[in-house]
Amino acid sequence: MKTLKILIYSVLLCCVTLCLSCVKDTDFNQTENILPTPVFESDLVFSTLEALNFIDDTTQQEVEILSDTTRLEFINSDFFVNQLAQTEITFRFTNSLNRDFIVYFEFVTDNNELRYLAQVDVPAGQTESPIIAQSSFLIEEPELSSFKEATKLIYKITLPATATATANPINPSTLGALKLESKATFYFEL
Amino acid sequence: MYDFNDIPQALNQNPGTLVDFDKHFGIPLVSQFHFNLGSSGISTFDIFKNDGVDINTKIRNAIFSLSNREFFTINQQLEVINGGWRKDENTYFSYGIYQEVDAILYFPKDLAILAWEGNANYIGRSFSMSDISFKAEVLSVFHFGINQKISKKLTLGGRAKIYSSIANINSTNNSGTFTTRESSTDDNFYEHVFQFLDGTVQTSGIASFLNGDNSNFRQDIKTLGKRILLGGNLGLGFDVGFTYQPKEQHVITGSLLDLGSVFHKKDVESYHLNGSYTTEGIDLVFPQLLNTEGTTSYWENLEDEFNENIKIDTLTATYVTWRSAKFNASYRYNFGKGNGQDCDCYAGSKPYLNSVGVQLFSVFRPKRPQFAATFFYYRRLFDFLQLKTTYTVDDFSYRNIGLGASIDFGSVNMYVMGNNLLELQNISKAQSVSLQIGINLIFDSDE
Repeated sequence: MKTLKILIYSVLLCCVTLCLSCVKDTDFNQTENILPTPVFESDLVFSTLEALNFIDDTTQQEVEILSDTTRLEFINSDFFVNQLAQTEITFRFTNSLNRDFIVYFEFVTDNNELRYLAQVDVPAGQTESPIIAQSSFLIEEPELSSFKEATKLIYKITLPATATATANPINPSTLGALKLESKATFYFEL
Repeated sequence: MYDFNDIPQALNQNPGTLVDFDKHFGIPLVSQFHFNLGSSGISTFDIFKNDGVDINTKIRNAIFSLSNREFFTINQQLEVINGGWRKDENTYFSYGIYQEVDAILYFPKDLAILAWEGNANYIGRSFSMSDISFKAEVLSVFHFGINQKISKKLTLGGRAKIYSSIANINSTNNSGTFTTRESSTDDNFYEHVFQFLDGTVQTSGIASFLNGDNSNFRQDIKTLGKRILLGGNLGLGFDVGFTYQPKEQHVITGSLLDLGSVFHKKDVESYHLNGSYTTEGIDLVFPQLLNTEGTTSYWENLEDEFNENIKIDTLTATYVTWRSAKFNASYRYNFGKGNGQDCDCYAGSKPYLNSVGVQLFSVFRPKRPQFAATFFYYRRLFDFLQLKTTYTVDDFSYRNIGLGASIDFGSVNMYVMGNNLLELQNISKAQSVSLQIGINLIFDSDE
C-alpha cells in the first residue's frame, strides 16, 4: 500500500509541476506583425552612344529621335506585383557630346500602352569636360500599381531643335559620347 | 537516460551497460517516447517576449546576433517494440523497432540577412551560400543487441541496426557567393556577381509524394507503411559500448552509437546548382543603328545567359548519408550501501543507494560535433523508485537542470525524464526541451 501511495504522490507531483510550467510574458499574436522589408539595389539598363549613332545612314544628317526597347519581365511578375511597396529608379547620364538631349523612359505594357514616364533633360557637354545629369524617380502608390503593369522599357532620346544645336549639329566626326547608367532600388514588403 | 540502468532503454544508449534483470518487454508503442527540441542561439522568448519592442526589430537583432554556427535541432523517437531476455548469467539479448525523426538546420546567416535586409546597405559585401547547411530524416530502425559480461569488471555490448529510411533531405557542403559591388568596368552603377556557386540538395522518399500525379492518399499511406517495414531505403549501422568497473564503487562506461549509413536508391531526386555569372544589367545597343534587323531580345538573352552559366540540374543518382553518430562516456562513483545489503557489488550499482558522476555526450553534426557535459546524482529512494538529477552544460544552456525517475510497480516499470526544469516556469525561455517517457515490463528471477 505504501508503494502505491508513493506512486500516486509522485504522479500527482509530476502533474502539478507540468501544470505550473507555462509560457509567460509572451505574445504570439506578434507573428501577425512580422513584416520583412528588404531593400534591393539592382542595375537596370546601360548604353554608350557615340556621334555616329546619331547620324542617319541614308541622309547622313542628325536624327531627331533615337530609341531602343527591352522587355523587363520582372516588373509584372507575381512577386513584384504582390510584394513591391515602392521603388526608386535612378538614371545617370554622362554627356561629352556638345549636344543637349531630352530623354524619355517609357514603361509600357505588351500593347505599348504607357504606364509610367520618366523624363530626363541632358544638357550639352564637352569632350574634355562631360556633363553629368542624374535624376531619380520615386514611384509610390497610386502610380506604383500602374507601373507594375509595365513589361517593357523604351529608352527614347530626342534631339531638340534648339538654335545652338541646329547651328552645330552632330556630324560623323563629332567627338564624345552619351553614356547612360541606371539602377533601381526596390523596397519590398514580404 | 544514459547509464540509468534500471531502465531497459539504457541498453539503447549503451549496449554494454550493466543489466541485472532477466527479461524485459516494452509495452508496444508506449515503451519509449523521446522528444528533444533545441536551438543553440535563441529562445522563443527572445522573439516573442511582450516587451513593447517591435517584433521586426527583435527578429533583426536576432539575425545579427546569431552566428552561422548556431543551429536548430529536432529529435524524436517512438519505440514500436522493445524486448530482451537473458540467455545465461553473462549474456543478455535485446531487440526492437523504433521510429526516429532527426533534423538539424544551421542558421543560414548570410541568406537571412539578404532576405531580411536586402543588398542595398551591403554594397561590396559577399553573401555566402556555405551558410546553407541542413539535414533531416525520418526512418525506422530494426535492431538486435548482445550484452556480454566478459569478467567481473568488464561488460561489452554490441548492437546491429538495419535502417529503413522513409524520407531524407540534406544539403551540406555548399559554396559560392553573391555580391553586389561598384562596377569595375564603369559601364553601370553596380555589378552583380554570382561567384563559384556550388550547391546540392539531395532528397529521397519525397519526390513521389510531391509528384503532381500522386493524389491517392490511401496509396501514400500504403507506401509509408511499406517503408516503415524495411521497404524504404535501407542502411546498416552498429552500436558498441562497454562498462568497466575497476573497483567495486567506480564505474566507467562508454558507447558509440549509430555508426552507420543509409543507401538512398529509391525515389531519389537531387538538385545541383553550379556556376558563375556577372551582370551589370542590360546593355542597350540600339541595333537599328548597327544595321541589324528587328529588336534585340535583350531580356531573353539575359535569361538565357544566366541559365547557361548558372546551371540547375535535377539528378536521380543514388547517394549515401551517414547517420549522426553519437558518443557517450561516463564515470560514476557509487556510495552508501543500504542497510544489511551484502551482495556481489560488481553486478551493478544496486546495493549502493547513491551515485555521483559525470557524463559526456557528443553527436557528430555537419559543421562540427555538438557536445554536452552532465554532472549527476543518482539516488535509489526506495527499491521501487530511483531518481536521477542532472546538471548539464551544452550548446543550448549553462544551467540545464534535469530530473529522471524510474518507478517499479511489480513488474511494471515506468520512467519519465525531462530537462531544463529551471525554465519550466516559463518554458518559452528554454533553448532546449527534452522529454522521455515510457512503460516496460521487467522480470527478474532474483526478486
